[in-house]
Amino acid sequence: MSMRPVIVGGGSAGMAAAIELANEGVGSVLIDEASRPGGVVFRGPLRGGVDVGYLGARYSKALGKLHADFATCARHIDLRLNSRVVGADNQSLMMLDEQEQLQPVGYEQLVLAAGCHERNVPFPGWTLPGVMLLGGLQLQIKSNVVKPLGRTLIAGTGPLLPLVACQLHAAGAKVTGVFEACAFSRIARETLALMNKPQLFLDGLSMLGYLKLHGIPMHYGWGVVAARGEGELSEVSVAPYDQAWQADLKRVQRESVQTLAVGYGFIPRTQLSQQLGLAHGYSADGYLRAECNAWQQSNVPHIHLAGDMAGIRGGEAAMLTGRIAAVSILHQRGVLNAEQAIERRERYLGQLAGIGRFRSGVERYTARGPAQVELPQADTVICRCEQVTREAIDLALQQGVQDMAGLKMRTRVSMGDCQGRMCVGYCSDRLRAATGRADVGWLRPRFPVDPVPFSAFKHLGTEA
Amino acid sequence: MERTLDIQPLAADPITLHINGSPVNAAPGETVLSVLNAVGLRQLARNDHGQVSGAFCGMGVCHCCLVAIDGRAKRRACQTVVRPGMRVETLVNPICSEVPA
Amino acid sequence: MNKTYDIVIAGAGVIGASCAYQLSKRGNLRIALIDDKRPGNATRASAGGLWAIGESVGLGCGVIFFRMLSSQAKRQAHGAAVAVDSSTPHILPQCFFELALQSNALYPQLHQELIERHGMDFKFERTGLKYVIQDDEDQLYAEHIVRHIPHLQAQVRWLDRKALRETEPAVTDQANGALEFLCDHQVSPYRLGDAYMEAARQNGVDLYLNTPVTGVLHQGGRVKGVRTAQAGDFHCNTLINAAGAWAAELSEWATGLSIPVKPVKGQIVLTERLPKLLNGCITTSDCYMAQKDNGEILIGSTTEEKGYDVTTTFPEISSLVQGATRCVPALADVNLKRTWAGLRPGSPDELPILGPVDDMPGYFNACGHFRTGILTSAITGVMLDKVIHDEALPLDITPFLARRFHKVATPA
Repeated sequence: MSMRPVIVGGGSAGMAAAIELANEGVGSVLIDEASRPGGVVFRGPLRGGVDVGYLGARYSKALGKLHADFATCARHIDLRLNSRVVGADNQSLMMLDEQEQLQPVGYEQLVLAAGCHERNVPFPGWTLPGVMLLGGLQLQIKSNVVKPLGRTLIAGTGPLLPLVACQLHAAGAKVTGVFEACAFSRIARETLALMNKPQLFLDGLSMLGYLKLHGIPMHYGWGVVAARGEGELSEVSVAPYDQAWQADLKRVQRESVQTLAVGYGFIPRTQLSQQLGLAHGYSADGYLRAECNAWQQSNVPHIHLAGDMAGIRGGEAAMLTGRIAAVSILHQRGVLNAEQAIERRERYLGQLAGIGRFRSGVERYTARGPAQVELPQADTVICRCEQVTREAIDLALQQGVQDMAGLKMRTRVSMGDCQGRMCVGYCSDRLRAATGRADVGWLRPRFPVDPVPFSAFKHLGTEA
Repeated sequence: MERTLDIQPLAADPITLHINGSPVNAAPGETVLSVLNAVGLRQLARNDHGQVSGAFCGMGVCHCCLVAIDGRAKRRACQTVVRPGMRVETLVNPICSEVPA
Repeated sequence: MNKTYDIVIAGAGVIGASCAYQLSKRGNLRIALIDDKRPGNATRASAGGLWAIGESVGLGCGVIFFRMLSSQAKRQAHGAAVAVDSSTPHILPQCFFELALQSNALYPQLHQELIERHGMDFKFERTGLKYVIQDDEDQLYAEHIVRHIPHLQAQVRWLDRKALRETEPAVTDQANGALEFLCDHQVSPYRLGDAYMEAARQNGVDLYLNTPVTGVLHQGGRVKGVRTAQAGDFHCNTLINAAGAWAAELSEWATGLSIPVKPVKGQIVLTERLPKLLNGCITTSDCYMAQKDNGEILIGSTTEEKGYDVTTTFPEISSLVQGATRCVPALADVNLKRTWAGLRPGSPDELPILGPVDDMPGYFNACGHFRTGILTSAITGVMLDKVIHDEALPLDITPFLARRFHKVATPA
């Protein structure tokens, strides 16, 4: 093995993999689309001179440590920032570099750590400026160091909701309330599972205490119904949700806010793993994810998966799976023998197990109710890029369309610039409900994963 | 244009860029979106169907913060780092300049 | 769970769906349209050109095919300046022109009919097709084409440099002119397939999607149905093989005879939506370009024999991009949104394989449409409907019968 391992994605998983390799003197190529490594969790402020205290003491410490560890390994890591991997085949990646030129990057060993994006849940008014995905708003306060405009309402499900509420408040933003779709009793039932990560659980409790102290109400079993405004968001309707997340429209309350952040979980970015033809499966939440073994190896042994691409488990797990992928590579390269590799892997797997039990508890209480797909009205846009409404999707399903490719051809969902990332969740939910099948297909990503200018091909050969 | 929503003030030596013709301060390293956020401008893109959108995913996925930068349309504000003198225009779409009826 | 139908159609691409639609109009037939989703479906991968003359003379999709032949000829000539070898003209036989032109003539009416009766619009647009002449070799080829189609003079027009600039301002000013085919237009290919299929469904055809056919049933020396894993046995009197690039296997099961249908891969590039840049469809000696109803420009296409492989490959994509940019320089600033590959059902003589097979009643071919399935889908549906019902055909089916591949050599 002569070529350095190539790592796609410089978030928690990719950085941890690069560090683990560097600690054994093995260099790597680390490619990330942003101007700073860290991914959405640990990118930190993009401008200098910022005191990140408002993001919480534990987070500031973790952020500092990761970047400090990474800095000590810098000489081993060929870091390609502002560079986007837009295609892959079994020999090379196609990278759109900082100058917007395509260049192939050959590999012998690969770590795919492209992370995830947020699940978008459409409801009337979701396309208004001022409505954002929760992680996007968190990124705005963490990396852009800018507060949202006006009063902010947070809706969705999961532990990210109270965390972002606290961070927003600490950053000086006004939070009018947090609306957690699942009932409190469902969270309470998972206490034992959540105790697998006592620190996280405690953090959660202290966040709730913080919200209470600052008069930010936390509503359980409530969710968003609609957003309204002239040109931009000015009002959000919320209502109680039952077990199936059917909103009780007789009890709708209107909240006057300028910003709405909606968080219903995440979907792995499988564009590259699918292009590489790796094995995939569906999660209980209905998303497609790449499959891997205990070494984080895909079904192609020299291609590893790390972080959320292989299933959503969050930043801490991502670092561990990144490290395990690196251990596997070190073993494949003969740097570690089998015994050393297994010993190290078991140590990381042990830490991962606690996170796994914690995550299972979270997944059980955040399980989305089937009535969620009933939020959009007939004229609510589902695919914003192609302006496809719910009505068009209903009609296609009535006409017997059975899978994602068929729905795409019939309605043009997913044919726009975002290539379906924002509508795939809804379309998949509807198709699964309509057909009763777990596998209704997924978006088939092709080169390029993101639009690239024709001028980017200027220096690319036309001969194989 | 005034930056009113910064969580902490910009460090010394800001650079200048132009949003819809108006000068605004920016810090080296930040994105075009963070400048737009900071001045409270939220109606950013006009899509191919004339619909106006603002930043939504904030991380390069949704293509809802497309602005024209130095004359080139459809650039993701959230994925573009500021440069001195950069000219940013909002609500520009090469095939659809009108709000739909 | 076994089912009985009059007619089973295997394959719901544009050909199978067109047959289903034409047959469903009779109103008295029980019809099942069975489809298995396999990567490479040519209908969805196609450009949607109705390039009746263009494809018949080896332009459009055939361009890269021709260029391949041309470069072979060059190599064989040991570097001599043999530009176009006119002894191997890539012009299809007269019977294909007739099939293509008759099919082409059906679209305006079909478009109206599917909108009015079934609410399905396949976006028929009158565009013309311009062969843009960029060098002397192109000029020779254009002249060669015109010489071969004297009977189509009325549908052909020469554009000089100035006329080309006026009608297609985005085309490079390096171009010498163009040869335009006035009757060659375009549709949205996947909408055409969906329109036939949905119209057929509204007319009572049962759709079985995601249902692979695993075998053919025989009884008394004739085809009597097909077997599927998901939906059991389908009994029928008539089976139509519209299985596209997968037709050879079904023919083998049904008749014991193989037909020479092979997958021929084509890669395609698609731009983002653009303002009107091209007024008509364009073909060059590098690629073709068609701006579709929604503003996207589709650029194709390669011709590769790679089995059932449908991966896109960087050198080929790059070559299409550079070919397109050479002809339309403004594309340099445009975004490429997507690429894909489809599998044309290639036949060795580039003619489709239609109609009955000797000694196997109950079985009909509707396959081997190579690069012109969208164009010839309309006439194929009509021909199959009529041949199954023993009615007069709009044109002679003999050149298209599978028999042509199974001729026994007879002594002179």
